[in-house]
Amino acid sequence: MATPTDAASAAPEQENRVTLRDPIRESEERANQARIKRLTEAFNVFDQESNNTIPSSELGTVVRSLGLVPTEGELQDILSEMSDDSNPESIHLERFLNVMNTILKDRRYQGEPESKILRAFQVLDTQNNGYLTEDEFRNYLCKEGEPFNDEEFQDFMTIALDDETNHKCTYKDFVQHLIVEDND
Amino acid sequence: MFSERWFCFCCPQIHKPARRQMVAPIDEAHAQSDPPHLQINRPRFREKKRSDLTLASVIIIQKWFRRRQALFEMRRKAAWTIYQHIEYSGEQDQLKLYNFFIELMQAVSKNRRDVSVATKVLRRSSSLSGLAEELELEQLTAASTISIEPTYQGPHIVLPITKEHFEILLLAFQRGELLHPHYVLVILHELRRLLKTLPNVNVVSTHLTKFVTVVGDLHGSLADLMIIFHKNGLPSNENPYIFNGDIVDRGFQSIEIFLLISVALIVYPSNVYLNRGNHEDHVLNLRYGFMKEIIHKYKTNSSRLLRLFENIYSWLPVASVIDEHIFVVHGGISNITDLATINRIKRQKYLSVLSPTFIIPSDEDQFQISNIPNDLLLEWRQILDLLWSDPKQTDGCEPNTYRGGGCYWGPDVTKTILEKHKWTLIIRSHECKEEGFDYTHDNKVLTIFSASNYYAVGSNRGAYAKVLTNQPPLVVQFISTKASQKSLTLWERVSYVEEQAIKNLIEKFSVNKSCLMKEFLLVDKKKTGRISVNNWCDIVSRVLDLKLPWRTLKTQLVETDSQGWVLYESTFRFKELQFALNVQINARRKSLCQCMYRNKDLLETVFRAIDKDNSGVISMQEFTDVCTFLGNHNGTKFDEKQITDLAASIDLDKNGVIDFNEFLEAFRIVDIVDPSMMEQS
Repeated sequence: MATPTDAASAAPEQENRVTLRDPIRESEERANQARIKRLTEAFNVFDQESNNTIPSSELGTVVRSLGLVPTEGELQDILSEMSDDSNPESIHLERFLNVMNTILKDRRYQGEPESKILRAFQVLDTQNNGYLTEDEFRNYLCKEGEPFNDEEFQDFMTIALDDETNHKCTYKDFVQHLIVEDND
Repeated sequence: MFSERWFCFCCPQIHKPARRQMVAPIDEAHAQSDPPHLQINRPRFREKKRSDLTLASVIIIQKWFRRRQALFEMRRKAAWTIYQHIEYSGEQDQLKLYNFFIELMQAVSKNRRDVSVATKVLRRSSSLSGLAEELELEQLTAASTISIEPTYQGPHIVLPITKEHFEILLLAFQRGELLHPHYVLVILHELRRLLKTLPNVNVVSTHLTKFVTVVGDLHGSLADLMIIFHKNGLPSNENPYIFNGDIVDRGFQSIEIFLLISVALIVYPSNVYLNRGNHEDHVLNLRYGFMKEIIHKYKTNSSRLLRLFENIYSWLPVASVIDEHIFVVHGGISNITDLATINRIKRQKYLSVLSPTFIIPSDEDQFQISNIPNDLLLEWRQILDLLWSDPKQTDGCEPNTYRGGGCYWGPDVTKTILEKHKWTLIIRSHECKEEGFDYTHDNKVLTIFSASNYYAVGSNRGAYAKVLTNQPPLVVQFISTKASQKSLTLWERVSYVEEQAIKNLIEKFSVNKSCLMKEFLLVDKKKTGRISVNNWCDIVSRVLDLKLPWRTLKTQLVETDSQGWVLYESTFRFKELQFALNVQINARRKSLCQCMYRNKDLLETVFRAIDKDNSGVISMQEFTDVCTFLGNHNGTKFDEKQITDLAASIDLDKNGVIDFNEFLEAFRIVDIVDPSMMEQS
């Protein structure tokens, strides 16, 4: 089976002297390149003026769009690592890449498996009903942890409820919607 | 996503959602009761464990939901970026072309044919100036030149124009009726007469009315204008309006809107104001739809109408000032903006702001741009900047290469210019905003955009601003929806907008197929049919010349195999370019056709510009010249022999002329239904 050639990795066959290739190093380098490209592309979507900066307020969206699942608190940590005191309102591409590359490499903020998320709902479902009501959600999600604001809660309920008539959410099905993946 | 940001953890304190670090007290009723023999004698510990667990669970759900929101937001933003890039790259092309014409005129060109095409396009129809030109215009466009046939059922507009005429037209246009060209000329001439008495910068006062409403880009959308009138009332002496340009182009009812606003201006001259936009320019009308609309609606009378419009644009004021402290202009400002200078300009010189005719004197084939005095160029820049600039977030002022005209101006420039003129706010339009409006530069610049659903149904809201005396403006949003459309959920709306954007891209792929395949095969020498994601993104980005988030988009555009390699032929699996005239398309011609389709807009612009009498027909020679000329300009050489061959085979009557409308219509991007069926035709 012919393997596709990636232009970036063409072997230098013409060289006269013997060079020892380090395949592990090369594949690491390739992975690194791919990470940088992925990060830059996500960054660029919010770089409105094409000047390699994004507003700090967009960091959350960018980080999460890469598939990571940090909490608000963790985002603050990430932000403080990459923000510039002289210009706190925006983040520069270079610092972003530095910090995020390490985060991706170390596979941090990957989030928990589906079973754990399901368990989270079950914990809240103290009556063991198999569903949660809008009121129950409101009590938890808008008052505890890192509370939702009105708009977030509205959007949440729109997808959570089984249908418009009953105010219930059968969370076993809902978990599927929550963990939607972007095949990357 | 269509209202306030759902997530802004770096916002000022008032927007910050309260974050509880401590464990929240748990309601006694929720505490599970264990069977007695399992009760540990430490109820507090159990409670604490339970509430820790609850907290952890709540946080899990919250963070996963926010992640989902972000993914969605990313997709929406990517779709938006697609639209904007396509819009601006179109404009850029247009402007590049005209800049190229001007450079051409400068250089001593050896290629007589190139020069002759450029001259033909740029030369004004009239070679007279001043009074003679005025008389010629009157003669050519007088209403008396068009008679009214007895079968005409529509509204009759007899001078003097009154409020009743406004209401009659409003009803007629909503019913889809067309105003007779005779009356169009009547109204336009009245408008022109009035405009000639106005200063370059309108002086607007809210002293008597207490407020004035500013409306942004309408772009031919009668539906949006109706919503505004419905929500905000019709224009009158008690309800003043400022229309901030870009009335025409893109939408299909540009002339209706323009006529309504004209009549309003005529009836209430002290309370209706119009600022010129960058689309109030015949050079842009050539390409962006207004010219087509006029030709379609008024056929043989279109030349007359277009000629008068061209002149009327030049008499539109370029800006307004409300209560001496709010500057209202279509595009924006730049570091040289100066009210006193602007007031001294003879604005009527600028028939087209983009391609000012003082640069191309009518009797010379070649002209040196270096011969134009500096202050004249600076004067041109004043007007260009007012109509074409965009704000940017960082300080400074630099040429707006994205649009090709005007500047990007920063917050420092805003501060300086505001201070210089003792202004407190700039209200401008020119840019489509998702919410219909946007504040920037520390709330000193307000963008108002009034054409909702601009890119696609559901892409954005429209908005208008009510400026009250000595108060910050009140912004009102709206979105026009067809009655039949059920109210979509947020997710449905975003999906739809995205779908349209993706369709756009897929079409672009099919139009660039030859070039893309060539590049793919260069990388995939062993013809495995697969290349890496990196390579696919690079190639697509380069060939289409569109900097978009290709990695994010690729799942919707192309297939990948189980190892994540891109099966590049699937790039073209949905759409195909067809050329529907009875001409044989062999492989070589396919590439030419794709090239022509990509430049369809430019070709059309130049064809129309050459076709001075709007007959829809140009000679074969002109056709070949234009194609070759554009090929040279675009860097993709059209093979001249191929073009001549193509032209000859299109000229079915063999009478030496080509109906270019038919030619352009013949290009179609069709869905690929079944490969086997394609071979048959």
